[in-house]
Amino acid sequence: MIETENLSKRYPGGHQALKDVSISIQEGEMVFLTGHSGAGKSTLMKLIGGIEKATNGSVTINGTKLSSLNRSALPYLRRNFGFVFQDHKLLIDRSVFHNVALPLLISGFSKSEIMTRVRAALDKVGLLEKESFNPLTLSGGEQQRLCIARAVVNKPAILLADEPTGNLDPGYAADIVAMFRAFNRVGVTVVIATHDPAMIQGLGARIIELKQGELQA
Amino acid sequence: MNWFYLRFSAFSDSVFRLLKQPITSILHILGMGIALSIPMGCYMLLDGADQFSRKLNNTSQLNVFITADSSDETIKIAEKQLTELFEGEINFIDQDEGLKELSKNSEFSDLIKNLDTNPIPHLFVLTPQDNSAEKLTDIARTIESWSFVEEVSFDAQWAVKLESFINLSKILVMLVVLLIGLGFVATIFTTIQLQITIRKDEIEVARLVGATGRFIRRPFLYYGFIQGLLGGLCAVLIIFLGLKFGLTAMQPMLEPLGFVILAPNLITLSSPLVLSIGLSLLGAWLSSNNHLKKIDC
Repeated sequence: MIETENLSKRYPGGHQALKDVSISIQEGEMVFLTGHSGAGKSTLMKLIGGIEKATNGSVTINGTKLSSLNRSALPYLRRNFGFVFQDHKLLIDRSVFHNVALPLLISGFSKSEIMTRVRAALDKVGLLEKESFNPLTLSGGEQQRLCIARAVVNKPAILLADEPTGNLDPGYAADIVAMFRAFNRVGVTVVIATHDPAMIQGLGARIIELKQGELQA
Repeated sequence: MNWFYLRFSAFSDSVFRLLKQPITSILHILGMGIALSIPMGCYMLLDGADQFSRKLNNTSQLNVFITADSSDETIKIAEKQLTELFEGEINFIDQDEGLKELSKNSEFSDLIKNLDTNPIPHLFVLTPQDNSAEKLTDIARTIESWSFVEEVSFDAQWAVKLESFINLSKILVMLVVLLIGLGFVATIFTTIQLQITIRKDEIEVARLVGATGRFIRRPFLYYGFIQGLLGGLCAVLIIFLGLKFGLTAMQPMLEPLGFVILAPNLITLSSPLVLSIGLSLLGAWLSSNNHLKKIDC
């Protein structure tokens, strides 16, 4: 489902963030990308999601090479992904409901479908009662759950989460991990970048370790 | 239905953003309306003045004075040449008739009676059928070159000058419209740039969840369209009120001169609206194209 081949990324200024990374993630798999800060986890996530372009090598999603896609096709590819960010990237000028509704509006769903799906996603993450709240009034854990609801509302095939428990206390972090596990059980491919060993323990998921931009054996 | 809902959402979002800053929006729209109404209103007034000068030209006459000592033969030749050259009514007033007219209407009638010889030249009065001011000027020049012609007076020469002045003013007003148009585009360009800067986070998130370029650009184009529409309507209202009340007050002064401003028709009134919407959309399109490229994710 997700394949990278000799993937490298060098940023302007010469910093080599990734070097010859080749990985393969199967459909329905749950994978952790681990490594210290600066190991290249976030860069690899961005390259997989088509947020940044690789300097060398290739990323293939469901048989489609990202480098072969033109700019106008990229938005349609991104609709297969659900993104969860450490900093949530929530829109503070609209309600919880409207934050979650955004991907559906973009994909052209009808108003009634949007209502149904948003409420179902908010129910899954336990925020249904707070649908009219402003995201700023939510706690850190609730904001992360809101971010997850937005990521899954479109029923994506792949969920990419970059340090999803980075700023959360252990109780909230365990809730978030459990949610990812539940999505994986229903067939969603889940890729989580984390430097938190506690998050990985006991889940039995595959671990891909990066060190200074290179894949560790 | 989804197509409509998508566009309705973007449109209502743009309206909401305008309403979010009511004072700024009202002042902006008012500024646009005033800026557009001044040259457009001037253009309409010049149009009225243009019709006035044309009217003057149409009622103008050429007076051809033949030297006083001309023989009957010369007068016959003059009449023949004038008939060949000129399309319209030709009236001849000989010098005796002219002197009689002068003594009737002049306070110097006693003085005229005591004259030994008649100093009044023979006169041909030419009334054109449908000649333009330019054509009449050319005819007057040709007649002037004839040896037996003492003088040609063209009583609408000042109207020709007025027409030239009006034409020049129209060009100047068009230049002002062009400059204001450029100002319009520049203003909307910066307004949209500001909106894009304010909504940078939203644009980034929308791109990450699969928004196309068109989806992201749409609310900014609607924002420009709404501003153009309201600015144009404001200009139409100012012009309409200006013509209605301003001219009602001026009409008694203008009427004796034959200067009539026609009530603006639908095409005249809709031109500032169309211009305003078109220029605003152009500014919004240029700005969104230019600035959205810079938010790349």
